[in-house]
Amino acid sequence: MERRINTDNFERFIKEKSDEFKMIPSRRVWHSIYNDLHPSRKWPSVAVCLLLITSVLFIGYINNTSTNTATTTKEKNNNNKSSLLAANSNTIDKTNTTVNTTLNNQNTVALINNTSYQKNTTKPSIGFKNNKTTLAKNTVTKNIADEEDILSAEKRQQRIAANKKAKIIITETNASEDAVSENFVDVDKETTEVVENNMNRLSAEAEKELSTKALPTKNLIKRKVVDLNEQKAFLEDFAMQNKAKRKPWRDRTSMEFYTTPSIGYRLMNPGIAYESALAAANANPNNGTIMNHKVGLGLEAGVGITYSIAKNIRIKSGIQINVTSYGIKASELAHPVVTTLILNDPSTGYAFVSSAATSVSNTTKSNNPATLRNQTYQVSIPIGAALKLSSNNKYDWYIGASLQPTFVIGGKANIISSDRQYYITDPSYIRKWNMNTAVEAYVNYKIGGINLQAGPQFRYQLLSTYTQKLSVSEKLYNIGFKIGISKNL
Amino acid sequence: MTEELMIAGCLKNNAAAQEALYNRFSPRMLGVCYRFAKNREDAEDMLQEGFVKIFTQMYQYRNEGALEGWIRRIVVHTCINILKKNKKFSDSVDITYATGLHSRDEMIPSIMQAKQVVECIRLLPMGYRTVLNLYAIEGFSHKEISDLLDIEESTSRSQYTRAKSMLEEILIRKKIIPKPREKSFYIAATAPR
Repeated sequence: MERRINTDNFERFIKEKSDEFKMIPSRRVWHSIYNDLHPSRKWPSVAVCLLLITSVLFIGYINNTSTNTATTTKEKNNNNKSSLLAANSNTIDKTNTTVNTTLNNQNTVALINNTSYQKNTTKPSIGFKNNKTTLAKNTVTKNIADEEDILSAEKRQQRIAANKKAKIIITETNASEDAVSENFVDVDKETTEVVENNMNRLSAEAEKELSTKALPTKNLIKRKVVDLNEQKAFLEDFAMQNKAKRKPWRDRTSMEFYTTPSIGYRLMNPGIAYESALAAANANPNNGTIMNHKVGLGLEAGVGITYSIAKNIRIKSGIQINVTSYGIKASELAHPVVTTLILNDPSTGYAFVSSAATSVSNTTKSNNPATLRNQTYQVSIPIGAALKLSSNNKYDWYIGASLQPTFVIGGKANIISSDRQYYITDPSYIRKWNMNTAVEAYVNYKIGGINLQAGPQFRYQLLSTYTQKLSVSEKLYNIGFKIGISKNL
Repeated sequence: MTEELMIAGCLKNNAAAQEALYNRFSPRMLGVCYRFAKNREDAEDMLQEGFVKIFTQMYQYRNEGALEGWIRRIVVHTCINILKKNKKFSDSVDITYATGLHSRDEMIPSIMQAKQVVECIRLLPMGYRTVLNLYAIEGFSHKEISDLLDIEESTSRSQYTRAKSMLEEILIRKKIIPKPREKSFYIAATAPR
């Protein structure tokens, strides 16, 4: 920007005054800016709000429950000591009676203090009332009991001039009430009159003496009032005090979405009892018949949570779906034929031959060639870890492995017959629960607030696709390329 | 928080640093926006857009000048871009005579002098006001203004001359400044304190 030098006084005046001018923007502006810059952080705000509301409701419920219990217990104890102490603070008549009785019995200190606390605490606690039991009531009862104990020793020393104390304490009480809140000042006129009548009988000398001794009581009153105000403020500001802070674990946690297109194939084992079963069945397998299988396309897709347990190591879990597939070249027969399968007897452990009908032949030299597909649809919960090999500003290189407990939803099963000349279609032999394992290597590319991941993956099925009942064992494997996106929570 | 920390935090998209920077500069920048805008709401919209640009383009700040100057330049350009989107603004830059001046004359609130001056500036027609803001307050040259507003340089000059005399007249009428012959007022008013 080219600065001009020749400015007259008027321009300087305008510029100076304009530069002095400031306006405070509304918070809406900052919130809008924040949402523009951190769009993904809206949902935590909503979640935190819901959490706060739930917390406040829960705490409110807990407080009410504990208040009921505490008040009941405390009231029982206090009833034995003095019925006045358990009286409801809203009742002015009772208060008057209390003061009169107190003056006559020269128990002024504790009881008038009680009166003052009842006045101070009852009105602010209206908002927390629940039926007959209130938090304030609990607090008052507790304070009265505590204070009675504290003042018991003091009472013995101050009995001579109790009436004077009454005057002083009532005066102090009124002052304290004024200090607490203008709205809550509600001095009982009759009470004051009674006290003033008693005050007239006091000598100036005794008053002076007692005013000095009453100082601890005054401090006690102030302290109690402050305590009550703090409790009230705490409850009212509970939501603010419990405002969720950003937890350290969130910086370590990220959510990822990924998909892995792959090609899949199988490893087959005819089974340890294969030969003996064939002999038992007096079968004549055509050993020259080749199973003509080919790779198929598979897919893995899922969502997961990763957590960094160390600088270079993170663990992860989530849920994913797997689709496995491979092809079989065969041909359709004009008429169904009977063939056999080698099965295992789970009770004896021996293999035996079972008959089955089929219309699919294991030969490609036919007028009706067909391509079959063995497929499974799986849901799994991968549990794994990844190790960061190296990183720079933009890239991280990881290797990882996972175990994947898997539930097989369904699929297609074309099982080779014992003589290898036919395929028997029977998905009921597919194992429902299985276990996969996967190893992978990927690069993590940091762009903006997200990470893009890409790299090769190898997945292997640890258990046979088929149940133990079937002698033939088949284990699937997939080689794919993982593409993912992740973001810190 | 120091400026260096704020800048470093903003470069990492740290919300706390962004808020600190916003809190420090937003009052003055809203004052800038307010001089260009029709009302406070428009000014806040300009401020919002300006700060989003500031935070997203923070990497372009090279510590070569004052941070406030850099921020101010972005805010001013944002204001101009927003004004230019409004077709009425383009038309208003070329008008010769201001209208409606007297009808709004009585709306100036009697508060502190800086606000009075700004409110008087805001009484000017949009075209006058923009040129005056850019030339007298933001320090743009007429060449830069002509490029920025897509007008002739001569138009910028004439607009500014008229804006200046009109503003002077308003300020005198409002008794914010004395009549021109009392030139010592400016010297006293702009003297260093």
